[in-house]
Amino acid sequence: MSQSMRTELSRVRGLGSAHHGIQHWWMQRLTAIALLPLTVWFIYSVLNITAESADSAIVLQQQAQAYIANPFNALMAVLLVICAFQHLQLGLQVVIEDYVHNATSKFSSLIALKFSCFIIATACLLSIVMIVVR
Amino acid sequence: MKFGSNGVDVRYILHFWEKNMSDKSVRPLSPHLQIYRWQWTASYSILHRLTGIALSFGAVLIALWLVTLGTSPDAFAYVHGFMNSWFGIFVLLGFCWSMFFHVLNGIRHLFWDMGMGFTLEHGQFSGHLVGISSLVLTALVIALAL
Repeated sequence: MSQSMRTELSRVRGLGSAHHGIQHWWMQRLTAIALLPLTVWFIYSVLNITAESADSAIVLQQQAQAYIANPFNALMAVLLVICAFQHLQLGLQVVIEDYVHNATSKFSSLIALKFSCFIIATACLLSIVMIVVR
Repeated sequence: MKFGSNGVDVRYILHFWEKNMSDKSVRPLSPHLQIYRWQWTASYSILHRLTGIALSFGAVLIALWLVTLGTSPDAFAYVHGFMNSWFGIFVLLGFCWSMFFHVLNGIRHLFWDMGMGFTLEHGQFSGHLVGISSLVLTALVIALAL
């Protein structure tokens, strides 16, 4: 005999009081784990690209393009953009939901957040593709 | 302004108990920031959120760098110029420390998700470890970048 006030159906569905289940939480953890090695690669890359002190922007641009054009680096850059913007978007969504209670402001900021993350991430991916096929 | 033994404004404590003891028809107040004593772990918690927000804005700057890298030399030179100005370097340093803090504190969160490190001593120790390590790693990156 269960002492719980929840119905059997509610427990089987497993969606909780927010009716969204654990999807948001799970995606945030998944992207967090993926971002651990990607961040190490990012820091290594920034130090690597800026190692040979390039005073002119043109020289640095050529060095950085050559670095990203390498297939492994291109793969890591693509994964970093996808994971970072997915993680960022989930995190900022919670911040908005915590502090913005007026329905109009809440939904307009959530829509603006999701749209801008999607647009910026896609622009980044397109740029990487353009550098690789150059 | 008078403060109680735990550094909290006495007027707020009185208001809190007055409301919760007398007014039975209204739902009670939850103790909020004003009634809690300051703790290291609370500071690390809010820093995680603040660095997360800072990193989001930083990501837009990195994205701008990446998009101009693949497209226009003029626009790239402009972003490069900003990143090499004193304000740009200040922003990048803040981004660097925020990244180390958020990543290390994120690892702390992942341990909590596995049910580890929940005692007061462990929580405080791992927080200090994250805070100090983030500063050390930022100093290391500055040393390597110079």
